[in-house]
Amino acid sequence: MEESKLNRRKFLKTGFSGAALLALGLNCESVFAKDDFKKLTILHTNDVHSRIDPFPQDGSRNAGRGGVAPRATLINKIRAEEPNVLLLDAGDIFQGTPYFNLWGGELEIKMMSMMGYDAAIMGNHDFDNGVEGFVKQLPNANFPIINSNYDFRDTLMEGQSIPYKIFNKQGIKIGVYGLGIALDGLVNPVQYGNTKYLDPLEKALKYEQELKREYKCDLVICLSHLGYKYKEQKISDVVLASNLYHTDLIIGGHTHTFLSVPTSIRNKSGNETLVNQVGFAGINLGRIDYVFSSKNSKKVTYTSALEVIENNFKI
Amino acid sequence: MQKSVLNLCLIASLFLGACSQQLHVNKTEKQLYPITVELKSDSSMEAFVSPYRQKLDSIMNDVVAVSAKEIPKGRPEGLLNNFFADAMYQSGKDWNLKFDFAYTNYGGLRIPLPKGNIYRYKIFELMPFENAVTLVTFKGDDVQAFFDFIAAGGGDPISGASFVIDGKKAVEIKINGEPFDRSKNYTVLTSDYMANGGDGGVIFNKGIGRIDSTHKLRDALLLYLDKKQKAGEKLNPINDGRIKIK
Repeated sequence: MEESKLNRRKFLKTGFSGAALLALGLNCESVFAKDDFKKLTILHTNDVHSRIDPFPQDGSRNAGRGGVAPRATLINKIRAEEPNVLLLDAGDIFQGTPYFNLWGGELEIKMMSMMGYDAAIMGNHDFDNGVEGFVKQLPNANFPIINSNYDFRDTLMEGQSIPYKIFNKQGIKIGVYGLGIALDGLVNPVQYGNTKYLDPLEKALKYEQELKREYKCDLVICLSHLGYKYKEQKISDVVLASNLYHTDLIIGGHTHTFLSVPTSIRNKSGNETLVNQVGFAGINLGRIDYVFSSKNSKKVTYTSALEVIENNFKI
Repeated sequence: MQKSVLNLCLIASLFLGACSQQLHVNKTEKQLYPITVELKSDSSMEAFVSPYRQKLDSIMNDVVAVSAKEIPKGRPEGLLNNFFADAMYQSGKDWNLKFDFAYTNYGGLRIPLPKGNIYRYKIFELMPFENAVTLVTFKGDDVQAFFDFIAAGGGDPISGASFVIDGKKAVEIKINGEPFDRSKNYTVLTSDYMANGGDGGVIFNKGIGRIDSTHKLRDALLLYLDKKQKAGEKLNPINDGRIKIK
């Protein structure tokens, strides 16, 4: 076994004080009173596609990678180390191994509940057994399904999802909303039934505004299954990010994009929106730590720095 | 040096000094955790999944094929594409379905196949969907448009046909070795998913006839492999130039 490779990259947005804080680096907690800082740890997956067991050791590319039980070990370890953990999934929980063909997503949802997922959204493949197939597994979920842009009226999903959720972790308010992809031409009409797709940008603008302004969230997260980006003119996480004002982080899925660092995009208010996606099949667990301080936003420019620590285990 | 540190502290104090209730991000840190065999499995998760896994293993671990080599997908054609489409074509003929060529979408090929033993679960992972085999008939003009659709996408799995991609158009189309005849109708064997216009397949709305079979697409693969197994043949697809780029 080779020792894990430490690969740090620092991303710095504009700002005088941001540079100062970055220069202080990880040691800032030792310089100032501990109460000045609060840390939030976001863990995330996308497109796990029923990959309950690790890929088998058959010489193929992802052999030995993924698997729910190893992921649970890692999540438990991080929970033991960090006070404020939020665990999120960006959709396509279902479909891809015989576990789904045989049990219709029962294991996937039950194991997410056991791991303590805080929220998830629906991807296109979560409709694969029809709306009723997804609803059937919901009694196994002890976390909410967030969706802000499907109209589920006259479907079995009516009343089964929420447009957003506000989490409170040690006084840090985190607002999470969720966006699904256009279903027409992607999912069999018989499977999504009367589900109506509504403009994701319009809904994102509505809910980020509500979460930031009305509910005074400290951090606004979008869980998205729109896809990272496309060659053609089409809504994607990258397009979305540049058109938003208050969303700090978009956790994406659908395109199975492996990002080793989140993409930083300047949004409409000139601030940074991060877009992240961690491949598929539970091969990776994404982690983003935010350190918060109490300050007056009018006097100091919003700043954000990012440190990346990437572990590449080699078997 | 000392002075600059002092300055930094001063700036940082100003930054933190002004108090309000609202919290602001001042630093983000990002980490990517590969989930690998290095990580010990969580025992409660293992205990939960174990009975399901046992049942699954009892019905999914038989060898349905032996492959002479690794079978990846590719464009404009690929080993996996050709195996998949050929299996659709052959099994369609074995089921006595009336069609001219077979087609499926590239995105529907979910995993590559490894060299050596191919277990039943691999075929479920390659074709996890419960899609049914469906026949769609097109007029000659729309057959041209259909191949243009494949060309524009860069190439999809086909069998019983060949063509050359010229820009975003399909040229030199041959169907079962014969030059394509615009005055004739042709029938394509595909999935109900594509026939419903899935994966950008709006071209299927131009079909003039449709027959939905009761056969699953996955069963077309399994039947094809079963026949190979019984004949003592290894799975050994080739790239035969059915789709070329000009």
